[in-house]
Amino acid sequence: MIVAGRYFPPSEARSIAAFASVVGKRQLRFETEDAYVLFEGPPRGLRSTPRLASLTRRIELANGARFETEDNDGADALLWKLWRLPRGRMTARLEKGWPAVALLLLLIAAGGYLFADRAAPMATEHLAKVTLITMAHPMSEQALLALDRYALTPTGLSAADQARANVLFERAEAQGRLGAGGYRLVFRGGWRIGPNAFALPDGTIVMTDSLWATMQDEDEALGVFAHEISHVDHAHQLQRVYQISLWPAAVATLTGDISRMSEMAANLPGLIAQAPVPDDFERQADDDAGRMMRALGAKPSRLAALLERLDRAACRGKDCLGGWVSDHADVAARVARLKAEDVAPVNACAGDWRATLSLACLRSIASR
Amino acid sequence: MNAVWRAPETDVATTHAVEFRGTGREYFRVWLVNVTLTLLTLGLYGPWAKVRTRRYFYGVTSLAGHSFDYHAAPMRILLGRIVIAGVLFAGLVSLQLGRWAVAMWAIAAIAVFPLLVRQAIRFNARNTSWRGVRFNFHARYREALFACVLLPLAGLLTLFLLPAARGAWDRFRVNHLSFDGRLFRVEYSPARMFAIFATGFVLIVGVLVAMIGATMGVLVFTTRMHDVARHVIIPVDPTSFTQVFTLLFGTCAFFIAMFVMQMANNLTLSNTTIEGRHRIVSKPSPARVALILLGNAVLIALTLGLFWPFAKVRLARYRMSQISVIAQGDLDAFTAEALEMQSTMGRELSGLLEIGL
Ligand SMILES: [Zn+2]
Repeated sequence: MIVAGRYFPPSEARSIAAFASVVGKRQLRFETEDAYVLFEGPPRGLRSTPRLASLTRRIELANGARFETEDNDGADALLWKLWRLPRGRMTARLEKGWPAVALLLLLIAAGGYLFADRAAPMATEHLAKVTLITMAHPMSEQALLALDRYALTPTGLSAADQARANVLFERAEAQGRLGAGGYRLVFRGGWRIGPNAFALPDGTIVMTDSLWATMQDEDEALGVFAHEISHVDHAHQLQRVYQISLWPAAVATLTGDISRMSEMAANLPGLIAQAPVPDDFERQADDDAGRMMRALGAKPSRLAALLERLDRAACRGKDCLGGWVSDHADVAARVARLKAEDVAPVNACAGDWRATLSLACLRSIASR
Repeated sequence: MNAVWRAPETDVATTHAVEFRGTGREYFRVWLVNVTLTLLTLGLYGPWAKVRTRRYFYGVTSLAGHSFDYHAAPMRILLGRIVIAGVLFAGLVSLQLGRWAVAMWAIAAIAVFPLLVRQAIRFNARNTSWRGVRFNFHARYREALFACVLLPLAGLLTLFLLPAARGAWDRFRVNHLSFDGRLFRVEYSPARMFAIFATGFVLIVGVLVAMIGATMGVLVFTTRMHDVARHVIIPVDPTSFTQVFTLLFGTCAFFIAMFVMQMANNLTLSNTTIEGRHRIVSKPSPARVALILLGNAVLIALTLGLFWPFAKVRLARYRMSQISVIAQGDLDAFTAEALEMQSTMGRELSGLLEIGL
């Protein structure tokens, strides 16, 4: 067993072509091409670099002498003969059998995706609900302040209309998780956001005058309130914030390459921010609204009617305003689902495979 | 071998080009194993993967026929990451305690930040070697505070101080680096860095103006056509129109940012000397680097990340192949003396504070 390489005498920067071998009882020998022995003796204080790809292997002795070789297999054999464990064997073997590793990675990715699809929503929901206690109020205050400055105007609703809406709101909020007094209805004008209603994390629900004007009966108002109350109960806004911020962090941690990662992913956040509110959140809010409406003796199909009306009115004129419908995608599917709710609670597992695997579905199976 | 011998230092300048012999195929396997093991161990393998990556890239890069080496112990990096996690966890706890606790934590975190940055740079320097000789890094706390916190903050707030912040960072990073007692030194006129940033600013504004102009042109044209022939409509609806606009502008901004970054890197490297005698020359074309980065980003997206290792090698190969060192005299003499001193210093540079990030 002879390994070709170059030998650096102790504390020398110049090297000489040399061969390494093991002789006698675990004695290491370095010799030149013409058999001149440069070193022979026990490998005292021997240190070697771990094997990695085809990198030059370095062997150092306590006296400062070094030996470098490109022959990784030879170096491994040499170390075995000296009764030293060559480091980097496992990874070298894995790198050799890379197709198997690729297959394993594929399996991990598939399993990880399924797991994340289940566990990530649960984790974000838990995280959102925990942080809600400390963050909800200041966050909502700031959000409303900003909205008031840029998008909303004071309400033009008469005191009588406000009183009517508040009576309906009180009926709806009794059905929420926080119960009566746990939520707050706020009226605002504001043409910029169209006929709209939205919930802030601390339970403040903002309704624009134009949405109130579009409603035709009390059931519709109850439906909108119940839908928004469900968003508050499940901390959907905070969950969304975590969903957006958790993924890049996870990717950077996994690749362990944060500096390059940020270089490459510099324009990713922009793309992520434009992603719509997840359909599962809307489905959950609609299902909850249906349940609450039935409990209040209202018909969920009235909420569907309001959706259709808003959808028809939206984006017809030159100034496309959007509003409650455009913030809530996939109107046709939601309308169908809500209409079916008149009779009985919709099966949470109905729909595509994502619905079948959704948390709501799992919960409904567990409570059965 | 007691005598510290020094070869006659001639004034003959020799240019040593940096060689890079890494290949995408080879690094792909290293990367694949890294990613798989990191996932399997839920991230615990991360520091080992990092060391393997660095060892690979240092090992395939050579100067004057000798490759670089990286010696970090992954455990130290794991320790460093645990420290960072501890700091972040303290922040989470302070959130539960109220505003004063958060403020206290923020002040403490800002005070600790330069320490961590200095520690990380020193750790990497001390674990990098060439021809068996290690690099070193010495900096004071207030220098770190100035370069890592105060000037970057001022730069972000005022924008026109950004070139100065970059300059301070360069001086911090380079002027405290040494290769066995021989100090690195970077020196360039601040006006040149300012000119580079100003170029980037002008380019960004120029692109924005041009794109707005083109948009207006398209709008005017299509509305005119609308009057002429009633059935002509704008082919894209307003929302996808803004998306196209932001995508185009984002691409241009990315290109310009990378272009400016490489110009700045070239300025820094090309004005770095070692012991005032050896010079570094860095001449990758900024446009080519930006193009490579842009192409890499597209290919990584198209291959769902599989192109990542190839992209990394592609960029490193181009950048490294354009760097060279002009050495005065003999580089062998340079390191022989260093080795002698190092052996008296002792090889192990370990201590409780020796952690990596
Ligand atoms: Zn909703």
